[in-house]
Amino acid sequence: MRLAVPRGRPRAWLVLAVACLGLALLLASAMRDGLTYWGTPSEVAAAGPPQRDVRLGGLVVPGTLTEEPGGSSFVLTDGATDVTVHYAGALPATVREGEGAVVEGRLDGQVLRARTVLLRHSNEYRPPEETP
Amino acid sequence: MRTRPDPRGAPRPHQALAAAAAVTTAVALVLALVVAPPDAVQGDAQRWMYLHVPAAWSAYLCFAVVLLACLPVVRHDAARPRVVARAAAETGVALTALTLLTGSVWGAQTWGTWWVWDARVTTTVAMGLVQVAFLAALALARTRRTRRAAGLVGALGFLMVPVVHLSVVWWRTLHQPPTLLAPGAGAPIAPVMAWTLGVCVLACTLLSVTVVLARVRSDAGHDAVPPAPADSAPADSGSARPGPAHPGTARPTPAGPVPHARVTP
Repeated sequence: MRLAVPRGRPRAWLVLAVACLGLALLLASAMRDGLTYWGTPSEVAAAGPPQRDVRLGGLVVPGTLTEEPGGSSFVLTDGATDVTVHYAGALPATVREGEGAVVEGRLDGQVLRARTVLLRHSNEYRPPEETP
Repeated sequence: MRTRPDPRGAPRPHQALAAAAAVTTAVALVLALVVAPPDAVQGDAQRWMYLHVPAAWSAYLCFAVVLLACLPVVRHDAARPRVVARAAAETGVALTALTLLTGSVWGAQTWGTWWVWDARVTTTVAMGLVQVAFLAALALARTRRTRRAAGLVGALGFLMVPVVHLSVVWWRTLHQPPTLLAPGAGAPIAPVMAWTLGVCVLACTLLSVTVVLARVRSDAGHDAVPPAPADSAPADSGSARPGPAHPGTARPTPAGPVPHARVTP
């Protein structure tokens, strides 16, 4: 099956229209939701009980990460406010203690039931420690 | 239609440049895949950096060339700079796509997602779309006025480059802030990784310049741009386009194929 892609000038008009439409959509979305991808636990706590899903960013507190067959959990902090994150199932291998994470889900007090857990890695690059 | 310039026809400096690009690329590949260690946190996935960062940098560079080349286009509808602007914009769009592609794979392996609409990704897509719009506008432009207007789009398109680069500083993103070229102090990076990245950036820059020059040459051949003929447009292979209003200025726009039709060598 092959789509009938116009050639020549009609195609140039089509490309121009699609590019302009895409730019308009990006701009509209940025105006509506802003370009801030995540909030800190303190900001979200200060905003009061959220009406819908939240997206939080912070650091995974070392020593708090537990993975069990029923689900996983860890504490996410921005230094001032802690939120306990529960996630059904195994965490992605990329999530580590001491690294950044961005989680999405329902916030209930200080507990967040996460639908998505993403790693937010630092901008530091180094080889692994020489370990025997 | 010529899509690939004859390498034997390339001027000597171009040949030397292509050779330098090839050698640097070979060295860069060895450094990136063999010499550089895996990252302590990200493991081997971090090696995508050696393609992702150079592609993004080269795209920035291409759009800077578009800006410079578009200035005389805006001022007096200059023909040669227009060919350069188009070649650089095409290469820059391809590099932007490569940046998004490698970023997506890298993100899948480290962030745990193929795509998020964070500020870095959103502004990068917008940067590419502005240049696509410029290329389409340039392909459509037949009059002196419209070509100058298209040139303005290309020149202003460069404004997206600082927005993309600083998006990770201005807004909270999933993407990490810059390590090098960062405002203020950068972040630590192991020297061997920094060196590898430097060689990779150099290789990608040389390759991009080589591609842009080859595109300019093939475009010049395609357009058959001799010193301006005063009375009639040069033989323009049976095109039924209406004659130009100003014979001296209306260089035959390669309107037949839009830029995307041609294969990047």
